[in-house]
Amino acid sequence: MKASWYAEALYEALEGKNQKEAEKVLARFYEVIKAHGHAGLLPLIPAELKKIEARKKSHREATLVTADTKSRTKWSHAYDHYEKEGLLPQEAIRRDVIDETLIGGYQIRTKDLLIDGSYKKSLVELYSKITN
Amino acid sequence: MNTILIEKIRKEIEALEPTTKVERIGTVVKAGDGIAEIEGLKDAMMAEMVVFETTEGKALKDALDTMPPVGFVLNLEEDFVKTVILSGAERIREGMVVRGTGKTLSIPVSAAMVGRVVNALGEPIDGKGAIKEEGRLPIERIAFGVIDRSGVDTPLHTGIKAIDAMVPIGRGQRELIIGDRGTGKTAIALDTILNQISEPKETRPICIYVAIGQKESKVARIVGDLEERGAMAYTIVVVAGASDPAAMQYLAPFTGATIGEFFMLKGQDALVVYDDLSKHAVAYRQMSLLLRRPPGREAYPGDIFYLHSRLLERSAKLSAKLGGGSLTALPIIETQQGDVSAYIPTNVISITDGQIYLDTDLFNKDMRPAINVGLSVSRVGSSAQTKAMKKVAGKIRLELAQFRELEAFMQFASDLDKETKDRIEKGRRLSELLKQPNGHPSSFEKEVLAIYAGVSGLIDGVKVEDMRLFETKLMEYFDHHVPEVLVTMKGERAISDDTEAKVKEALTNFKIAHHELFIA
Repeated sequence: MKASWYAEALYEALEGKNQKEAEKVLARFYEVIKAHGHAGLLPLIPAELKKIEARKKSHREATLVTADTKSRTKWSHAYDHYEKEGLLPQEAIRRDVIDETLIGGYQIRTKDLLIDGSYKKSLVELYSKITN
Repeated sequence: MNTILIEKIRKEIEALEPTTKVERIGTVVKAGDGIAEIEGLKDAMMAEMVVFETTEGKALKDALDTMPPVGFVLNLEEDFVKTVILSGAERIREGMVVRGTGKTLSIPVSAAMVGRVVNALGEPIDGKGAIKEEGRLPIERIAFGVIDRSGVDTPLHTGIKAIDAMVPIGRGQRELIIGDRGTGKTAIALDTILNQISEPKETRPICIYVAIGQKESKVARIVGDLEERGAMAYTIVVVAGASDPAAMQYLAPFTGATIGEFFMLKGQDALVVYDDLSKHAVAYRQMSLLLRRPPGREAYPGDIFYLHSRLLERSAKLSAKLGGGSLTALPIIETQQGDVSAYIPTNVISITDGQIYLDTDLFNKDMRPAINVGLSVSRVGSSAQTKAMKKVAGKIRLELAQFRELEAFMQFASDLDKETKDRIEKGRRLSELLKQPNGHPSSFEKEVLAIYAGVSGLIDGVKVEDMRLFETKLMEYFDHHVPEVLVTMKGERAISDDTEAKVKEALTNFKIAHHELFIA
């Protein structure tokens, strides 16, 4: 058994529980892990829970990546467009990121979608077209 | 720099309009041992190719000319997708973006692959430059159905007398070569490839040799031998060596089958040698265990039978409507201590249309090729055997089987009657006649002639130790004195009464001319 597996199970068991219920779940969890002889994994579980939380949070995020702050406003309309189109998850939390290596254009990223309108992508494609 | 090239680049940049691309992506959660666990990649398909994005955050100049690592999907789970990494595993990091291609794994195919050495992805590895592709074919495909096939009716001559006479192989058949290590399994497959040089160009099969988990030095030697003997002119070598990842070893036979199918669909004949499927099974077991699939017997996954059956079912003789092409398969299985009842050997024995069993004891008794006639069988090949071979080889199998029985009995009996003694002596001579050195396949007509001489009783007076000399002299005699008989047999593929009379006469004359070979 791995600490991450216990953490996954605990995270799911704790989801939507109030303080009192959570305490019960934790007590039961401690009993189970001890009975399996895996109490040694307990110190590792909080870190795994943090990882899961970070991952879940990122699932709710939609990141708009631009080459600089100036162009952020320019490409915000693209974000709004795709949001209206329904390509971005409902109630997505927008996060703005600057990545100079994009050269220009934008990227919108969600958990399982990449909308790439960057100049870097176009130039890389052009390069491979010419060199091939 | 070339001015034309500069002009081309200038025009392209002027016309450049950044376009927007919507792609399905995922994120690497875990990576190691050639496996990557990916979160995301919604709607991923089984065997879909995925590309790992290594250029993220890199400046444009560093992003150019970077071959991204690729993998393919093998496990579809509720929240994750598990992929097998095919290349660049060392560059994969946790959190890396993975792009789905929406395409199942495919390889480039073309007639220009003939004479080349490629890896499991169909990429050339012989340093002879790029191969111009004619198209791409998926590595996995459903085998042709009953309606699309026709019966196996054309022989595939191996040039090995013992096989062509007693375990004949037809085009479109799957014949297993099985035996312990060092018993000459690869040698039989290579002799079969070498023998195709004697076939007319228009009916010569394209040969594909798939080396799975073998030492690179052995493969280099094989390629060298094939090149030296002119066999690379119609051969493609697919290599997934011992140092290649298990995923490449798993893919290699499917690549070989795909290349073979390309030629089969063009109406040509193809022969594919899988050397060997034991190592293939081991590579698949390694992958399956890393993918956390439940282990079964001998720790192999439950679908190991399906893995080999779907591979070997792709061998076929197509109907005339589909061009009449064929794909013959010679899979090789290595046994441990002659145990044919182990898991993988029994699986492949039951899938194939027969097996050539190579015996360590026979090999040690200097019987080469060490084919155990009793355990070897061809279930469909006899209908593809030529009339000439059928006529001469009918009795040889029975005679040899009787000889093997008597030979065992002889060890305990001191007094034997004359008939038994004669039978044993004849068996010995026939066994000697079937001996053949490595890399010396015989042409069809010479095989027929040698076996005819054997079963007709001509060899009865020849000393066992002189049998090889006898055969050499016999062939020389026919080449110099009656070459027209050999030409007729080659053309007609049958022995007419007229030809038989000529052969008999020539054999009588040979006996007179070479009386020193016969015991008075």
